[in-house]
Amino acid sequence: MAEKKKTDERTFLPEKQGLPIFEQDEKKSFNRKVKILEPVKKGTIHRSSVRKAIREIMREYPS
Amino acid sequence: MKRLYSKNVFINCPFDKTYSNLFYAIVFSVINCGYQVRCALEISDSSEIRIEKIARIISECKYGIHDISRTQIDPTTNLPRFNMPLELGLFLGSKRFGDARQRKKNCLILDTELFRYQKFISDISGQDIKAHNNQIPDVTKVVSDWLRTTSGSQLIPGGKEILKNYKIFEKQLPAICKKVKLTVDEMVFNDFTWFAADWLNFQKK
Repeated sequence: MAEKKKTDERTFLPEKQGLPIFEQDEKKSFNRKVKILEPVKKGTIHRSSVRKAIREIMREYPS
Repeated sequence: MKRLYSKNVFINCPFDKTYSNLFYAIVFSVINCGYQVRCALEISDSSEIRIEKIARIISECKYGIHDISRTQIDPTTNLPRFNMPLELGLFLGSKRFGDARQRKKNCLILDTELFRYQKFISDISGQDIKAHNNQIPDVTKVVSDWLRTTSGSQLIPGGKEILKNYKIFEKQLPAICKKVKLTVDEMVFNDFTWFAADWLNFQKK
């Protein structure tokens, strides 16, 4: 009995932490985000250069 | 680069410097909502007649955002600007007289204040027009509210989330331009759309 109580205390349960409990479907939609579409027309800068620039900026200015 | 009628949003706004803050906020908001932005600035071809180009782009877009707030008298010519109401008329005309696909068109009409438009374009009094008060937070909110309502999608972010993203993006934009050897002034419309779309995709990772 004492053994079982110890395990319960160690187990992370959202309701014990005062966090909301999500059903599986809710969890799924909670994490889903809208798909960002590619623009219709080409830009004047090569795509790989744009991506490289953004990647570097993200590293320099982590939000 | 696919052109999806149901995902294309035609932007009918002024392109001058005094409006550029609101214009870029509208473009960013549309991209952040998962749609493709279309406007007359996407093509630079002097051989194509302007109105033909606009009509073709309108025919490829299910959605349209029309800002009629800048119809004031031009200080140099002393005449009002009619381009935005004309393009709104083209959009409403395609919805009214077009084929089944065109009749599915849906648009958001913007002005600075509610009901002001009734004094200069009273024929659209029956339409539901939204006010942006020349404020970027209002723009992100009305664009998000409209696209969430009209599409029925539950994944589109709210105006505050878009505004938060736009503020960070706007701050980083000069540095992004510098990395690709451009200045913000030299950046063309198609560059902005790619910067915004790629930046938002990086945010998702």
